[in-house]
Amino acid sequence: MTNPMANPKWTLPESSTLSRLTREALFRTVAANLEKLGPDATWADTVNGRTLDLLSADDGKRIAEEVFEQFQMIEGRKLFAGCEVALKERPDLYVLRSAAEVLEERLDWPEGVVGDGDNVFQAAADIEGEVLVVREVSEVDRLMRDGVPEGVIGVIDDAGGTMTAPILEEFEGVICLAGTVRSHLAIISREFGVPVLMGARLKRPLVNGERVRVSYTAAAQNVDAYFGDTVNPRAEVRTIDEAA
Amino acid sequence: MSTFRLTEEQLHTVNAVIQKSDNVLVHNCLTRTAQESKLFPILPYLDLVMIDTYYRYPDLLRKVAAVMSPEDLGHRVREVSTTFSRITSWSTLAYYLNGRALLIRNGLLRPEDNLEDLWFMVDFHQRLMRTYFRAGGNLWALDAGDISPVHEERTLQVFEADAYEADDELRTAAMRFAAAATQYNFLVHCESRSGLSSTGPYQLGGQLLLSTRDFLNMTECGLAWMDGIGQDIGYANLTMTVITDGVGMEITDWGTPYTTPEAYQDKVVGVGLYTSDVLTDRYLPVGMGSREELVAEFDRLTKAIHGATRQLYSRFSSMDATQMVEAGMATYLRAPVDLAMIAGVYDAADWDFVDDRTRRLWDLYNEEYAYDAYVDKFASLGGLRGGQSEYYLHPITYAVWRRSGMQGDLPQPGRSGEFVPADVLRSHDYSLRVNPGGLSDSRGTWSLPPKSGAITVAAGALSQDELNERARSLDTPLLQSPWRYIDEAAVKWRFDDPDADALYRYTQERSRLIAGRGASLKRADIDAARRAAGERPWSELAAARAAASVPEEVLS
Repeated sequence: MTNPMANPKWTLPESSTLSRLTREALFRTVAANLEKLGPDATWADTVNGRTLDLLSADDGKRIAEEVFEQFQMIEGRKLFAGCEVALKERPDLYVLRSAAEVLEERLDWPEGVVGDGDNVFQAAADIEGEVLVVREVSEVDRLMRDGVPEGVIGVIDDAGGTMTAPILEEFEGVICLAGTVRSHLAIISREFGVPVLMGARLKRPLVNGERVRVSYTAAAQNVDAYFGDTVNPRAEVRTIDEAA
Repeated sequence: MSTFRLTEEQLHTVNAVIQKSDNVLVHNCLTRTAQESKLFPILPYLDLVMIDTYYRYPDLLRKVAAVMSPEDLGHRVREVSTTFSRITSWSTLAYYLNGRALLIRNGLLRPEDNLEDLWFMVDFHQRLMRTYFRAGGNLWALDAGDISPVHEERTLQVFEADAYEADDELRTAAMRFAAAATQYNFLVHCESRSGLSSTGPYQLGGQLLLSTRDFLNMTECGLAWMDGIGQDIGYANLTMTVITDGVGMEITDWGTPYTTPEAYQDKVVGVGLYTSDVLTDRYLPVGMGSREELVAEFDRLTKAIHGATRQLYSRFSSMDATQMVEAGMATYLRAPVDLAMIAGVYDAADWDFVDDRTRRLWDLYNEEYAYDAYVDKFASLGGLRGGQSEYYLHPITYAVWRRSGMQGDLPQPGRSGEFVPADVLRSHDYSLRVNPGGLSDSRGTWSLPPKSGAITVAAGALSQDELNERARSLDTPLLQSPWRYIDEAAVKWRFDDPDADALYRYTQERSRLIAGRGASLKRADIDAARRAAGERPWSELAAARAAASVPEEVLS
């Protein structure tokens, strides 16, 4: 029996090499396993009752290993991980996606501007503060114990609502290097009234201790921009030292 | 042995629902970059649980349907706040359909397989949704222009009458609670929105809107990692009623309220607080004895939530990656779990594991492949299948392309869902059920510590057996004739019907201002009741706010 799903009339490309490699390996394995079931097996009988014969847990492990090897040969890197615990347990497999942060390649950054982002809500005033980069769960743990220093603008790369959950309220403002104004962090920042820029792009990495001024009084990004409506100008991050 | 055959009418219903679910998914996914979190392995758990629901939901829900009809369940979940909410009512079907599509793309399933399951899921879901949302008439927020009315007049009248006017002290306390509860709830649910929901907005005239905000599973509940967490909070489910003046609001199919302006807090003019759960048939006031009591209750809850947040953060920080994927999967899998609790057939052993058929894909759905699969499935609509033909235009992505000034090429002809081919009506070479032997066919493992604590409801902290026993013995008159058949449409014309009057009195029983007023009550009567209690009607409050905001030069 051949896999009835193996030969569609047409298809769209996958978005990545990894997706293509995984799909090809899966289909190769299912085809080989179907061969083993013999000519009398039917798909309708196999798909549920013998589905682990179509693809076993061992098959899954083997495909994952094979695909990773092929991926490394083609892409020349490890896999990207979003969460820390995955990297901690499998440093042979992963690097953090955020570690591969790409700086915005723009030549027309206005003088003194080191970044911009989508403003979640229009605050009453712009905020000056000292940058504190928070990229690790252990750093959140420490800040939970010791408290966030006053006058700090947090720079984070996690648009989720949980990593910085225990300390978010203590920041003067936040610059988030990921996400949109509908991300979980944006939802929470509106509730707390903590000004946040989402999807921030940087001219250069911001470093702990440097002082910046963020134009949180800029218009909030239009949530309907994602549906094709007007895109509002992004709020700016200015370095105070360079401007001076 | 089942002899199920899909009829042509059912086929077209199924495919229309698949496309509708696809539209809702793409509409909401468009606003998001791929979800990632440093703390939680979101993408692996998100993709894997979709597949898990495909193997498990049909028989988990058949167990419920054997005891209660979808209509019974729809009536129950409309009256109170449970974890079967705006978002989870969508996801109960959407997760299953997404799992189906992912398995098709993995070459492990054909679109025509397990048709009896597919029809059961669509039929069960649509019947439940039609009952749940009978007041608004729209099953999907998308169809209602992203609003989500759920409650009927008799419930809303209590909310409107009993909310306290928000002075600075109450507003601050309520908003601090909402912020802390939102943040904590994301943590409880492994970064997902599963425990947050909203209904409304409902109009109070002028620019006054009433909405409800639900914070669910706030303390010990069915989630295994919540044992011993948040016991000071005291309530599993809290519903805050919010009245705003001059705020535009949308509430999406994911249950999230978005406001215009985004910073809406200073436009909150009234609030109330309630609890409810699978064992209540009405909302129970919390801290509503006086304005001062409500302020104190919000402050107490906020403090308790802060403590619980730190407690839970530490618990998650000590989990390994496998446990965190399993926990994330559980938050999604449990979308319809309160239906089992309402029916009195909840068994943690049915829910708390990962099916072996899903587990075989564990290593494949690593952090990066899970991310890419998410992008293909939910965002770029690419990958193995796409739409049925090269002529396909997705209604949502095409609308965005037009609205954004037709920038670039047309969106590719992809869709998230997979239609059932019509030739199933002439050729019956397909399987019927993913678990031919029923629920016991679904077996698996879990590395999370098993649930051992209580399940918190308003009636107390109960064991699973106690919960089921009380659920089975709950005999609410709201499910019986005549009240079951008295909706807003009936009351509009027959408000003087004694049965309608008795129904309204039942809902009003715990109201501080309109208890016993019955079905003839109108907004003017609520205004009068508030005046009699020394509290301003909302329209008068809005007028006073408007007058206070007029610049002096205009007044002179």
